[in-house]
Amino acid sequence: MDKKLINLLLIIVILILLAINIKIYINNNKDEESNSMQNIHVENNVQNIQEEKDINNTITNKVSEMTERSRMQSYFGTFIKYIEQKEYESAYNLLNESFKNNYFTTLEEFENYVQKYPKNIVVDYKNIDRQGELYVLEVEIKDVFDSTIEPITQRVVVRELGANEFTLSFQVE
Amino acid sequence: MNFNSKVTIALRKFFKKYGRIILVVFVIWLIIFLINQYLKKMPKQSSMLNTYTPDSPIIEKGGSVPKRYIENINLTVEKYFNYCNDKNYEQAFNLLTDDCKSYVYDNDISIFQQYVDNIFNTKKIYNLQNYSNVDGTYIYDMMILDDIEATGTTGGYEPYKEKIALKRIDDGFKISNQGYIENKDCNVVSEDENIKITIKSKDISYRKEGYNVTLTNKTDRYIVILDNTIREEITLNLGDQKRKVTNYSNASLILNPGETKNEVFIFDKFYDDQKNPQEISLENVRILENYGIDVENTVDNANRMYSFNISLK
Repeated sequence: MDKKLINLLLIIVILILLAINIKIYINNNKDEESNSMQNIHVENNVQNIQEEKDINNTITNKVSEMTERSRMQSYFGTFIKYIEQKEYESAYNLLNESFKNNYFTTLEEFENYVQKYPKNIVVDYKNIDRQGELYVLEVEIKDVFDSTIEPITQRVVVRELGANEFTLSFQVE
Repeated sequence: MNFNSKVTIALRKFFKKYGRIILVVFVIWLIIFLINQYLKKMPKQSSMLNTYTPDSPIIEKGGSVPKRYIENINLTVEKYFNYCNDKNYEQAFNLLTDDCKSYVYDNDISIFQQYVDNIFNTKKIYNLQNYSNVDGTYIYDMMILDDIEATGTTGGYEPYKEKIALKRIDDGFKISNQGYIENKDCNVVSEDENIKITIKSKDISYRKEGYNVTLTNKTDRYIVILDNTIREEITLNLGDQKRKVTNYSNASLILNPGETKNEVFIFDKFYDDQKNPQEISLENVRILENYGIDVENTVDNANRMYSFNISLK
């Protein structure tokens, strides 16, 4: 009686697993079919987006393991990197909306302003203060190769929305 | 028997003997594999290190704010702050405790209005941090600052900080601001043949206590309580230490014959220091026949000098 019951249970488990496998197989096939419907260009784009997603996920995971101080430094570092690489739109998109409305209503205005930053930027973090959910960073922006360029001291306000998700604003002088 | 038949028989025997075990092992492996795949696909929970814990007290001795009150407290403060930001003075004033209205603003909304106009000179934002909690009074540090997200701190960065206390009154919460906490009844009377001292109440702030004292000279002579000629003249005994009165450094307290005076004795004392005031001592009460500009030394000229203690227990 016991043996029969065990056999029955084993058969049921095997059937369930078989059904799950079939479902996974069908789903995968569907995805492949829909992918094959698209042209190679789109396929490449999908691959790129997937790669980008994977990179973003890795960065997000790394950021979420950092301390608050390191995260803030990483966020402002991202902003500065965009400016250094002349990716002004990406940097502009990181700004707080009200701040943009107050000081840089257009990307051009922002682009003109950041021309005052040195070409090869190194950031010295002087202080990090916390105001509720906001962080106030005091930074010194210098040229890594040219010490004759006067360093720019600025306060930067960062709001962290999630791991590697943030908005920022800065002291405009 | 050919080779194929031999292999077939061997395999049959093998699977007959070990088939069930192989199947069980395979099933277990498959289950683990599928669970692993499922867990991989689950979204990761973000657990970033964060030091912002607004509802955890900085001084933990008095315990935490009960969870059931946190939302109500935050809503009350938010409402009060928005009223102040919008210069809605009356509604903001109504969220203050009666003690606070009376002590801090003398029940005069125009004084409160001056305070609001002074702090809220531009649109402000705020943040709260629970500081300490004592017997149902929840004390917070309230930081008021410009909307630094919108300004990027352009034009300055000078946060204004004050302590506020929240107390549950009639199913809701009311606020005491500017470091003031509450008024507490004392109802203490102490007298001898020379003086009668009544302490009706005390006004408690986070950093100090102000005792509302009535002193009556029962004699036809002069009584010098304090004239800053002796190091300690009025003290508050906290059990393990004595604190000097702080608001008479440039003043004197002398009772003319038969005179009654209402005074406030202020002492430094943190609200959450868990010390219980034991007594107020008038350390060197001096009784003089005459008092005036010609009597410089109230110690040498005193007919009698003694210590008068008022128990606060």
